[in-house]
Amino acid sequence: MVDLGLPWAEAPEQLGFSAARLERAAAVIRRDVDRGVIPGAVLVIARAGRIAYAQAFGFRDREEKAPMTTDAIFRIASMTKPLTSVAAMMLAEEGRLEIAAPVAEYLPEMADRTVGPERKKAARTMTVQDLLRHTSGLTYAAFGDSPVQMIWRDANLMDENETIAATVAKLGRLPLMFEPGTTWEYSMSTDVLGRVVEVVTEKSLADVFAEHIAGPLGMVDTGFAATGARAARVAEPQIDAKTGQRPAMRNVREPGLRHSGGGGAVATAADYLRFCQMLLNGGELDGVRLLSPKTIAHMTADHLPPGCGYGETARPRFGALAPVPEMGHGFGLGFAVRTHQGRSPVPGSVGDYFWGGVHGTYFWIDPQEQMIVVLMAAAPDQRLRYRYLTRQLVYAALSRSRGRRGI
Amino acid sequence: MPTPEDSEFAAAVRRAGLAIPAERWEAMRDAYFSMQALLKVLDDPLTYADEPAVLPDLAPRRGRR
Amino acid sequence: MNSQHAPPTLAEASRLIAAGDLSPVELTEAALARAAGLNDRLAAFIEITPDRARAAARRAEADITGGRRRGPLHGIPYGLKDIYDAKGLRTTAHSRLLLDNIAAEDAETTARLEAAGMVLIGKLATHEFATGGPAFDLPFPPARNPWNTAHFTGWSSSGSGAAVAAGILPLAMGSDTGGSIRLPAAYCGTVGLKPTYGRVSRRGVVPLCYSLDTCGPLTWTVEDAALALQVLAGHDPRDPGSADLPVPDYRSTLRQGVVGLRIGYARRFSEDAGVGAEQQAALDAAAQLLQKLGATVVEVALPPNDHFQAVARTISPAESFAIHQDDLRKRPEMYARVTRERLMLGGFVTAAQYVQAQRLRRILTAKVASLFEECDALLTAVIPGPAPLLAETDDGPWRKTQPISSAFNATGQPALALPCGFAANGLPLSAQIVGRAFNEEIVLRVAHAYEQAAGWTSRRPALATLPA
Repeated sequence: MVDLGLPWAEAPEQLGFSAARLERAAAVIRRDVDRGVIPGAVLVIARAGRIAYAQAFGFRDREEKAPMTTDAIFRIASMTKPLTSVAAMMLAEEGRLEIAAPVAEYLPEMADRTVGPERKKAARTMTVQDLLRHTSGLTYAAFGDSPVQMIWRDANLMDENETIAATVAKLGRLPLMFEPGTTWEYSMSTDVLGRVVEVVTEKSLADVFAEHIAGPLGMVDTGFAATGARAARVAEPQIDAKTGQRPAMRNVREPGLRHSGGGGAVATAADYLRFCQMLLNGGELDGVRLLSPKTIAHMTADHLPPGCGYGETARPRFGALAPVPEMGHGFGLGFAVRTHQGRSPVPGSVGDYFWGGVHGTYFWIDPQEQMIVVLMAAAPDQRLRYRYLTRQLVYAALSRSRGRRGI
Repeated sequence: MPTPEDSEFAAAVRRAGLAIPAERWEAMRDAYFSMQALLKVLDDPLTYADEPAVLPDLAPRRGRR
Repeated sequence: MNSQHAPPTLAEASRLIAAGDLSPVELTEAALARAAGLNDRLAAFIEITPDRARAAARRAEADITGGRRRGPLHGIPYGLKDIYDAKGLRTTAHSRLLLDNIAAEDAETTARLEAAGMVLIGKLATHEFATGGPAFDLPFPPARNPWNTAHFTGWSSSGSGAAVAAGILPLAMGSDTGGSIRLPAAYCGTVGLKPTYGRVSRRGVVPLCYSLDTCGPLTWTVEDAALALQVLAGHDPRDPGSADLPVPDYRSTLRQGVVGLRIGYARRFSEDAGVGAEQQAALDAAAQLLQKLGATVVEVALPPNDHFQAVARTISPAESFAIHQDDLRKRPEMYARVTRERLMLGGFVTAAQYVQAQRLRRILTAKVASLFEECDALLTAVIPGPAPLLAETDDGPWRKTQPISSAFNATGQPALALPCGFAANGLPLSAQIVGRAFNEEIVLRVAHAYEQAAGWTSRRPALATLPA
């Protein structure tokens, strides 16, 4: 059996899974590959610290006819955010970063913020907590055409040839979209958080990841690029029939100077599984402790204030998994968290936490079921469907449910 | 024989410079007195300090309400 | 009665166009087809402008596909109440007096919508000079209510209310002197926003009453009203009533919900104005829903309705008479009877009454403003509803009742009408949300929260879901 970062169970049944139902799930994904819906995927399911199922499907690069392998490297996009959030929480545990503090304490360029096209003075300053839970008032320019987003677009904030330090300096001069603390808006908050980590540690975010997270956890392929021999393992999207082109994705085969804490990392399914197992274990894996269990509990609690507002993309962009009350989800310090068993049409458990990447990757951690699922794919147009589908297929394959005793 | 109401209304019409056809006289006269009844409240005394709402706004580069 | 086949709202069209999934040319053709197909029944349009619309749609489509999308409203159809100037088109004000009145310049609002890339479909029915009432002795017939064409549309932005409710247009401009945006919205079941006096320019719009006239949008949803206001709001140095204040991002606060907000429910005020039990129950339910959504709802008392009415019904006719006195004296026969008689009443207002009304107006404005020290928004009715039969509308010189809406023309605060249920006869009922001066954000936010939770938006008149 291939090394996927955790020991394998002898059989899925040992961990409370039905092998037949897992095979049924695999058939659904294979059919999508055969029909050209997705080029390929890697799916890994672990329970109680052991792997119940892992499979590579389809192509790593359909156009090159290269088959998918379980060690393929994916652009994990927004699944970088949990890594950056963990880095920030580690600094908080060391007493070097204060989650309640104004961001401007670390980044003076973020002081004196204004809100809206009329540039009125912000009612309060944004805090590090606001960055972690996306209530900073920041947005993504590409998310809409509101007056503030139009101003942001002119500032060209996604320049691959610019460091995040330079981008954050630009951000400091732009108006916020919302009053800090009032509204959940998925945003460049985590890029700013990554910059905070850089300033506090006086290191690049790449070095922080390597030295404090990926290195200690043995996430050997995780970083901001897949250079050298790794370049040959990068999974690529297929040509979009509508445009006749591959969807545009960043070149990760050469090292870049932009270390986006909000979306720049690459990783394998095995790497991310180890990261998730650390979180599920309460901050520790194989004797390496990154965070205390209490910190993990704090990060995976709902941090959105009562009556929290939402930007207009929140619901359509994240659908049944949006961190909105009517879908029974909130948002913690770096992940969405499920607050209600019902409400969302997509299955899960109260207390499960998760996030996905825009290019098609997704993970969730279900503490009740002691379960981790990592889905890696380079299929941006299928991302929402696959988040729902994977949850549906995996939960359907469970034959014993609820906590350790049941496993 | 015109009533005092007719006389008052006739004066108002003349002062406004209007002509009202005979067949609409009564309807217009009734409307006039309904209006005056509603406007009675405007006769309530106000203080010297109660200035009207619409005043010239001469402040440079400032909007008025 | 479902929204499945209803035409897209402003926000829906905007998103679809941005994603490349909707063609402005096709959207415009659909609007033109619906406008032409339904005008016999609704009389919503005085003039439909297909050539101009097609040219504008083709330009918009070329710009958008060429990567030059101007913003959220680019390529989307709209209509103008026929008191708004659009360069080269006739502005009739629904009157025989202005049949040859070709506009030399766009109204400021028209210019803003055109600059945003919108596509003008036509000029919409009003009441003559945005006053009077539905009249049959005019060159154009009165508009009809899409929920039931035997019924009244509400006051003068009548074609605007009909066109939006019938799904012909996602945005139609109206004007509001005593309620003429909010009342057609109320009777036709749309959203109607009267912004703060001074927020949106009135230049290039035929005046009715200088100190009360307000321009604003009628749309199907609150979000659409926010999208429209974003373009419409802003200082116009050529409108002496225009306020030089910055314009916030109305969409950014739209979804913030009502948790922690205090909403003053002016229940007595609605009741005193003659709101019936059916509508009162709908308003009570709206207040309860807002409470359930996390707002604190408290009953508040407004000054007596007859004070507001005396102010509005002195100032409005007096100013209108000043505008029309020459025509009323020299060629009164040119007006519809109901317009002529109502305008003439203004000739009987004395100078002292006018000044007294403006003094009382300042007192009332301060009293309403003081409510906003304790409340973030007010909830009340717009007018007793539902819409009466067109044949039964009051066409006398003296309106027997005055709608509640006019209170907030007198005081100038922003006010929005939106559906709050349906009467037993299937016609819409309406509520009104009022906010602090120049705080349209709160009005839109409260209205949006209610609208989303109440779900009336999905109910469209049967006409709106018919194939064009």
